Amino acid sequence: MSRLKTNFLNHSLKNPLVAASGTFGFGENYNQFFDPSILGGISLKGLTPEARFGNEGTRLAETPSGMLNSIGLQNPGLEYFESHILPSIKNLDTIRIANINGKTIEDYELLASRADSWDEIDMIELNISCPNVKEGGMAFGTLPEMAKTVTQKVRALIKHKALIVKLSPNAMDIAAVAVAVEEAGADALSLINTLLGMAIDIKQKKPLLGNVFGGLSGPAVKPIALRMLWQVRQRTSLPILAGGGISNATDALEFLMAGANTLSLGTAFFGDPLVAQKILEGLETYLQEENLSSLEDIVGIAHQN
Amino acid sequence: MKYISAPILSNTAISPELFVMELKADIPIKAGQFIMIKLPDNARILPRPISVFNYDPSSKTLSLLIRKRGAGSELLSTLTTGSSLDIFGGLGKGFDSTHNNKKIILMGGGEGIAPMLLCSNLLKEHNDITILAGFRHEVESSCLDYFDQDLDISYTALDHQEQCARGFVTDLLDNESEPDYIYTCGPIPMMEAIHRMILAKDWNTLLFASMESHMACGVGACMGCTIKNNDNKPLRVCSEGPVFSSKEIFHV
Repeated sequence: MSRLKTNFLNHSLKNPLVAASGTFGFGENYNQFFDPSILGGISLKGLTPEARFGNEGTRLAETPSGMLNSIGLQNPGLEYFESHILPSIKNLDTIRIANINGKTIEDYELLASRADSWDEIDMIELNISCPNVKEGGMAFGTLPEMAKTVTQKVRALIKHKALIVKLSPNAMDIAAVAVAVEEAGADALSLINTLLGMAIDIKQKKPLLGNVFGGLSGPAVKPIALRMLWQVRQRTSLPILAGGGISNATDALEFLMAGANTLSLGTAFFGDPLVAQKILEGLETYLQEENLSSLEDIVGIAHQN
Repeated sequence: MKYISAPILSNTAISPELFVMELKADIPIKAGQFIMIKLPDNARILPRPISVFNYDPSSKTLSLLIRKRGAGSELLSTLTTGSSLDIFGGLGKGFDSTHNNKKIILMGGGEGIAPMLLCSNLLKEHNDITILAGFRHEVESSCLDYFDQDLDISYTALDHQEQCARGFVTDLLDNESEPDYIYTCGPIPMMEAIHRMILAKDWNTLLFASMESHMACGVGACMGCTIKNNDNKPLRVCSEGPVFSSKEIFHV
C-alpha cells in the first residue's frame, strides 16, 4: 500500500484517510473492528477547556442519505485529556490531531498553547465551525474577519506543530474565510464541518433534536462539500484535509481530484466500521488500473482537465 | 468484530405493532446486549440498535422482538424468510446472568420485555424467576408465549378485559415479596417508579435498568446516546450500558 503514502504538513501519512473529529472518539472505539493505526491519521474528539456534557435531549436523527447530530462537543475537558487521554494515544502509530474548540478567543489560546507542548500530538486542528454550541464555535468561522482574528491569536502561540483550521460550510463564502485564515498564518485547511439543519417529530409536533438544530453529514452533503473544496482550492494553495459524505473509494477519488491532499472520513464509520479498509483497497485498485505510482499524481487534477 | 450476513429464518407479526424476527447468526451474545442491523436501504445510512430477545447458541438462532416505531423498524417488519440482514454484535453491558439461588423479578414494559426472555432462559435453572409484564394493548401479551410457561408469569394491560389485570406492571410488584434483584426495561417513568417502590418498601433489592437511546455507531464513538448519571456525568448507553444500576441513573 506504499502507493497510498501521502505527505501532509511535513509528515508522511500511510495513506490520505483521516478519521474526522467527533466520529472516532480518542481512537479507541473501533479497536474491536480494526487497528486504527492503519489510518493516515485521526483527528481526536473535539476538546474544550472544561468538561462538557453536550446538548440535552435527542442528539441524533437520520435523514435521507445522511444524519443530523447535535452532540454539542461532549468531552472530558483539558485536565482529563492531559492526564488520561494523552497517555492512551501514545502508542497509536498514526498521525494524531488535536481538535480544539472554544467559547472565547481565550479558550482557543489556552488550548493552543497547551496542545503545542503535547508530544503525543502531531498537528492541531482549530475548530471554528462547530454548529452545535451556542457560544463561540461556528460564530468564529462564518465571518472572514473573525476567522482571521482567532487564527492569528492561535498561530502566535503554536510554535512546534502544524496548524489546520477547520472551516464551516455555513459561512456565506467559504473561500473568503479560507483566504482570511491563510493570511492569518494557517498551515492547512480542513473542510467541511456539518451543515446546519433540522427535523421535526410529527407525532410530538416539535423539533426532533433537543437542540432544535443539528449538523447534517453523510452522503447527502457530498456534492456540497465537493463544490466547496473546489472553490477553496481555486483560491489557495494551502494543503487541504477535505471530506463531507465520503463513503467509498469513488467519493475519495472525487475529493482528491477536486484538490484535497488528505481525506476526512467520518459518518461513514457509523454505517460500516470497516469502511476505511474498503476505501483503501478501492484506491489501491484504482492506482493499479490507471497505472499510477502515487495518489499525489491525481490531487487537483480535475482543475486542469 | 465485523458485519455478518444473517439469514432471516422467520418474521412474524404478533400484534399490529410488534413482530418477532429470527435470524441465523453465529455471534457472541450475553443477556441484555443489543446488536446493530444495517437496513437494506442505502439511503438509510445508520444501522439500528435492536435489543436481543433470545439467543440459542446451539442452533445459532437470534430472536428479536421489535415494535414498529419508525421507517427503519417498518422496513424490517416487511422482510421475509430467504433474505438476509447484515448485523454486528453483541454490544454493550447487559444483565448479569450468573446468579445462583436468588429471587429475581424480570419486569418489562411493552417491547421492554425483550431482554427478559434470554435473562429468564439463562437464570431459570438456578434461581427463582418471576416475570411481570405490562402492555398498552392486551393483544401484545402474545410475546409472553415465547417464555417458558412453567415460570411464574403475570401481566397487565391498559385495555385488559378483566378489571383486575387492567393497569400498570408496577401494580403487580405490590403482590411480590422482596426479591434479591429486579431487572427491568421499558419506559423511563415505569423504571423510575420501580426504583421508588423498592425504596418505599425498604427492600434491599438491587434494581438494574436497561436504557434506550438514539445511536449512530453503537460502539461509543458518536456520543449520540449519552444520558446523565445522578451526578450529571455523561454515560453512553451503548458502552457504559445499556444496563445500569438504578442507583447510578435514577434520582430518588
